[in-house]
Amino acid sequence: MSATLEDLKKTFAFAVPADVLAKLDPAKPLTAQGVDSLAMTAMAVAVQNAFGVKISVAEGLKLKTLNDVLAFVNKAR
Amino acid sequence: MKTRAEAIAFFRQQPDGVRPGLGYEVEAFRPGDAEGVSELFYRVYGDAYPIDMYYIPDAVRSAVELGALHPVVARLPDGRIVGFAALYRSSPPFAGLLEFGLGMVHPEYRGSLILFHLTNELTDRMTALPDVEAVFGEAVCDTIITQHSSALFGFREVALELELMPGGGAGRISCLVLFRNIRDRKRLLHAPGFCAGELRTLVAWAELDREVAVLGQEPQQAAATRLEVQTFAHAGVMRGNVHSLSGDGAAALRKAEAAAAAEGCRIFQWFLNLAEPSAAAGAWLLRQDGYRLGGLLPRWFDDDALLMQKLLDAPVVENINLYSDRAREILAMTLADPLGEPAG
Repeated sequence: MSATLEDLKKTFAFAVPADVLAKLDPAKPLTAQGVDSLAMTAMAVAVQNAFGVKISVAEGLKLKTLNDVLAFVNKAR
Repeated sequence: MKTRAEAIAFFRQQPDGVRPGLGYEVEAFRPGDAEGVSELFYRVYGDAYPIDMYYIPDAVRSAVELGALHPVVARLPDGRIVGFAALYRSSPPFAGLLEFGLGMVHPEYRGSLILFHLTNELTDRMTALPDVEAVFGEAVCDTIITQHSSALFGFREVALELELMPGGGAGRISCLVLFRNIRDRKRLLHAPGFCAGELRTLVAWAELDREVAVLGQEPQQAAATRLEVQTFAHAGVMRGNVHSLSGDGAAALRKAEAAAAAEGCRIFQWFLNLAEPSAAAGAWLLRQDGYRLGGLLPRWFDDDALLMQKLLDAPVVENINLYSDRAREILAMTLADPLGEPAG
């Protein structure tokens, strides 16, 4: 079964304040929406653990938006 | 660049040549990275980082050669360093227990996953380093993000250092200690009776193979008192290791505390070797002097340590953000009355 944006947002709940998470535009860069580098790190760890995928440096360079992360997770699983 | 002042003066004169948006590689440190690492410390902290060594490239290279520092770096195609994280020797007497930290990213790359990849790389590498037997980290409690990430990397909460670091306007910052064992054997702990239950709980959470013998209040004396004390005047913290205590032990502990207080310290920490009955029994003395339980520091002396801590000012509990029920349980342990009454 494919992961959804809601699945991702649940995974990120510990790393991103609820008000920021609720307003995230999946097509816009996360860092332009109040997600800082510490939160980006935590989100990446959570993605690896929750979805059983490994984010390489090359892949990580492409993950700018929630849509990017979702596409990566569903391709890599 | 032989001194901190020379290095900072040099970096101040150099334009920051880092261009944003480039690809990078994450790898173990190479000797030729040292200049870039020192410059990164300057670009991230200005002249404010408290440890001189990191501003001096030769000192960084030397620490790596000696095994006191195991860094990974994020390197741009032109060789510039834009990310750094390391395992490093800090306060523990046991050289096989290293601290995980110093994570930093150049300001132009803060929106990247560099810190994540540095942490991944270091976590992957640490189990293969022959001289690293265990690793710990001090996760700040003004946010839960670092704590939670550390847990996802396999670290377990074992202690809470109340009000350890100076903070900004919101007061001091407590640190949750998280631990990960790599190579170990079964060990005997001497647990002071007033906290034996708590220590058993922490041993179980950290998945340690330990036999716990409970110590009463009867005196336990070694042939000699052996203490080491460090004071961190800028942070107002005294940190001491208790290897063994003789008949003069109580006086030695009080003398060290008084000397640190005279230097301006308001936070006092003693790490007691639980393999040594006389050191462990020192916890009874400290408890009488107003010290509270801080938790268990596995492998601190190779054998485990009990952390006892005293604060001259009451901790601001509302500022302590914790990510897990276990961490909150450790907070409750630390807030219990030093003489055994539950926190009220």
